[in-house]
Amino acid sequence: MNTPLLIGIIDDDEIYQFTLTRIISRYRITYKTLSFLDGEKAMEYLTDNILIEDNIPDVIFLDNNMPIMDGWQFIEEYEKMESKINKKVLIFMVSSSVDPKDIERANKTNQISDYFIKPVSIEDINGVFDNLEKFF
Amino acid sequence: MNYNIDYKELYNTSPCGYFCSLPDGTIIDSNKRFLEFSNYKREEVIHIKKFTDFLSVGGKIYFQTIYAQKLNLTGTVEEINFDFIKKDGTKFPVLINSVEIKNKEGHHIFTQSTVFNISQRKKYETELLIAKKKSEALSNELVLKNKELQIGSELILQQKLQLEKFNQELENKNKQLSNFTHIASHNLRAPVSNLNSLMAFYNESTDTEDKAMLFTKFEIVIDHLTETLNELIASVKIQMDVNIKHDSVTFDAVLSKTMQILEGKILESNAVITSNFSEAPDIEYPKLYLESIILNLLSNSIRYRSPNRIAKIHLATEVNNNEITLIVTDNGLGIDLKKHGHRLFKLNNTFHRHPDSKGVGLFMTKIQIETIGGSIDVESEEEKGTTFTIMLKKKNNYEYPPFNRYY
Repeated sequence: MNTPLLIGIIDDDEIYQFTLTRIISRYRITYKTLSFLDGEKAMEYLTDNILIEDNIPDVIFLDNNMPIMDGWQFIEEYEKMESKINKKVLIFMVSSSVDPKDIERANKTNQISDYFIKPVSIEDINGVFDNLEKFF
Repeated sequence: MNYNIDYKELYNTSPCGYFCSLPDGTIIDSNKRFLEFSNYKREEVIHIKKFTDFLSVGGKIYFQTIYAQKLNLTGTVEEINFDFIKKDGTKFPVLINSVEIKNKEGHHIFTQSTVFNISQRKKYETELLIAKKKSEALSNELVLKNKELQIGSELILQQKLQLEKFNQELENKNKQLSNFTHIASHNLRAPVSNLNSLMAFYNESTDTEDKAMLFTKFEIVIDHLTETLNELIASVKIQMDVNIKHDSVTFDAVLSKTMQILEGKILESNAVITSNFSEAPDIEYPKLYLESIILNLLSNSIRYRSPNRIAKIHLATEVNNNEITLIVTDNGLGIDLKKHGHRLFKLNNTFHRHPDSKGVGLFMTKIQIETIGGSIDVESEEEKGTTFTIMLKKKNNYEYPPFNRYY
């Protein structure tokens, strides 16, 4: 991959945005991050850039507990626009929820590749980038 | 058929006793039946005994005061009951009828009396009396048992109501617990996991500047965590305080106090606030909670007003099934309940981009209302407005039924 990997971080928690970015930065990879503080802002961005393939993130780290539009609502909206996006987007749900119901729901949702419980470890991130090809 | 009636024989063998006495009571003649009753021989009675000699002390007094007087006045006495004492001292009940016999001049010469033995009748009467007493006792016992049963059923009813109340309280506690789990999961785990991540960076970092930068991040998380904990403590305090004092509160007074607090915001927004508390002007409720509930709802309505029209907020009370309901309606931004309804009352959930939105107000409001035993419902339409309906519940809304309900 010569073009940098585009990584979207959707989370209202700015400290988490900082820590996740710092963890990603350790991985030997050229990347760019896009950060959104809630699902609606991310959805607005996707809608505006739906036709510009290069602007669509390759990987999204999605929080489920956010104001305005939470992670589940984002997935619902994303499902509607998915067919119009000419790119496979990997969505990882990252949540502080240890509720088995959330985990089960994530497993059943096709759009979600995996579910991580906060705090996200370096191993989790390594697992994502090491196996990126596998996910595609 | 020809009968030769022997009146002398009839006199002696008649089933009742006859005797004849002088005005002073001395018996001058009697039939055989009378002697049989008394067990005396003829010579022991005639010209020797007076009728009163066969009576008890009480009988003698009654004879003197009532019997003799009546005989004297009317010339006849009928069916007077005495105890007749026989020679051996035993006695049996008799009825006495007497008539005065007068001479031509109208002077009382002697008295003729009949004595009926009424032992059988008395015995029967006594038996009837005993039977009557027994039946009365039985009926009293039945009444008593009936009362006991009624009291029993009343108690069972009360216990049932009490159980229902406990059940309700348990359900509330359960809800609060699951709420708490949600809060612990989202609102506490998130900052703690941030602290863990930051700590890992801090320990790895060798650069002083980097460490100082990380330290400022620590401060942000700790501040946030402290705030969340304070909110949680406040909510737990409310939930623990189920027996909080109820005050007599007037809705008008609470509203005007709230409007004073929000005066700046009301002026700035030009919001029009109206109210009608005529259906229930006051309530027994913790004053602090009612103030907080109205403050939260009112400031929400002002904060989330529509920029396209002048904010109108109306507050009213209604009485439904003896319970006081507070209704707050606005014409503000509204909210898509299909999307957000399930998160509306959760901690730190916000639905509009507003700098003052923290997602605490409705969370606390709901806890306060539910702790007192009420409930809060919401109806809303985007760009139309929002209506909150709060069933506040009265103090002691759980009342025992009146104890004598079935009597």
